[in-house]
Amino acid sequence: MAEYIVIRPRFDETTEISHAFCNCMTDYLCMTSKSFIDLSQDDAVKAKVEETLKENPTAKVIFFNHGNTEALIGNDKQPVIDKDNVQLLAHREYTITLACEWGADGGVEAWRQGCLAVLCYVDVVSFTTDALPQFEKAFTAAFFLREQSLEWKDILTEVKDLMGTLANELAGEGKFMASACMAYNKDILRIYNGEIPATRCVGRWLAITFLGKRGWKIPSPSQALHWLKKP
Amino acid sequence: MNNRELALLALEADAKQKPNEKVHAGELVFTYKEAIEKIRQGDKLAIKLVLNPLMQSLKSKSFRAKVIQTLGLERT
Repeated sequence: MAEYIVIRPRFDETTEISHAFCNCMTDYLCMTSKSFIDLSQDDAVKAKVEETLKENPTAKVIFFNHGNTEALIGNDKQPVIDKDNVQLLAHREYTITLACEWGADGGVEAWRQGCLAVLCYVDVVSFTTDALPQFEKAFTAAFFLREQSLEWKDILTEVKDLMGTLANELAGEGKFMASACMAYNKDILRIYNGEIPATRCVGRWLAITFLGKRGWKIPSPSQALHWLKKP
Repeated sequence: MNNRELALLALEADAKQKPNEKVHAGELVFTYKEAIEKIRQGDKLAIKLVLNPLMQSLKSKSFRAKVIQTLGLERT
């Protein structure tokens, strides 16, 4: 069984770059002889992803591509992970993503379903082509820090510190947009682990206030409706 | 000078120095020059994804000082 599953579609200008961001991680996994499955391009579609996740129930998951609040998007521009199959991420040591907005809902759901740590972003992720090495370093830092057995709480601090430092350096080089993107990515980065995800919903806030982490276990009206509609 | 004007000047400086470089925000891809044009046309997505993060960074005194220094606006 594989220890890691890397999912990295490549179908447009942005995913050409996000696909390449993964190379430093796959190179590391090759060099350290760790077993991994690289679901790249045509392999990064729902059927293949589901099959691979089922066959490797303890593998750590790395996903780099587009996303939205509810889904991670595959090579056919269709969801590969959404509310119908997010339970396939349960009981894994982590799911690391580089995907827009998934942390606002889907990432929370992955954590609710039992994924032990979920690294995600709660808004649109951005980067600029005049600072690709710096963005690659920022987006992959959590993976390498975890390989050094750091705790997730410390990883979040370290990655945010790194992004802050890189943003300052980029501003110093006169790369203002790159710096602003880096700083914004820092603000929207989340790691759902021991920490209880924040919420804007008053009902959820009350549930968390009174029940703690269990407050997230109560389904929202939209989740309840989704389950009821499920065949 | 307000943050919006300063952000646009910073973007213009980026566009002048690096005409071929692009900003990727979600599924949107703009050259800096295209981003400026879209923002000036009032494109809501360009404003949200490009201008707003720059204006957010300009709230930091050190970032603002670097922009002002680089653009040579100390005396304005």
